[in-house]
Amino acid sequence: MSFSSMNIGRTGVGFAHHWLDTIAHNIANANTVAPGGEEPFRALQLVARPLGGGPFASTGSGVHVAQQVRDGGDPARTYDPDHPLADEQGTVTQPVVDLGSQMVDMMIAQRAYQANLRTVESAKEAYQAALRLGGSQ
Amino acid sequence: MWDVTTSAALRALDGLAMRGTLRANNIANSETPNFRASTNNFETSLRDALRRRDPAGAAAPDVVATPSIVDARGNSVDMETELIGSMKDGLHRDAMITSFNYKVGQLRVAMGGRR
Repeated sequence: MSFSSMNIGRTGVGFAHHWLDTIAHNIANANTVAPGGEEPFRALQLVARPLGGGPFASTGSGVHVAQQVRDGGDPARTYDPDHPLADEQGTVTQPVVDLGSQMVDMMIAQRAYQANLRTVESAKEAYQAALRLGGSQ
Repeated sequence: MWDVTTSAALRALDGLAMRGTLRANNIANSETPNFRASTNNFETSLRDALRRRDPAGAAAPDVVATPSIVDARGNSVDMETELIGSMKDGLHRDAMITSFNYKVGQLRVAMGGRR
């Protein structure tokens, strides 16, 4: 008996953990203003890819982060000439972070983390059950 | 030494273990774009083999797509299906182990052994 289910669950927990870290980084920078002329902070998004056999394969062995993508939306510019980081026109470049979608993603990531932990727990129960094979009832 | 019941229970445990691996992979990839959830149909091959009274000769179960709706990202993992299915598989597994252990207990009695 291999421990493949447990290892697959571990990759899922790892991915969800990484996702939660990324969301925390995005939310923490939701008020990070870029100095005039500099590129604003853009929210990071993770792209998941299957490990092993790929989609619809019996040899699939979990998930991993294939790449990190920056949000490509246009940054909001607000007029605030008193701001220390305002440019010559008195505008401030706001970060590209959609707090609403970050909060929704955080809930999904949290649920994904819990579901993958449940997978690890199920695998543990299966291995413990296998140890009862041949034993007295 | 094993009769039809014990062989069938062992084959079912193999099928359930494989299904558990597929479920784990589905849950891990619940956020992967274009991922299609899969399961196996070990019951079909085991049922056919039991009709021939040869559970040990059951064909290797096929991996098939889970019949569920594909979302906008091309992902067909349905978390409720997977988690509830996992619970059902656990009960199924315990039933198979109980059945197997019952047969082993009978063998012990037949051999005059003690528990």
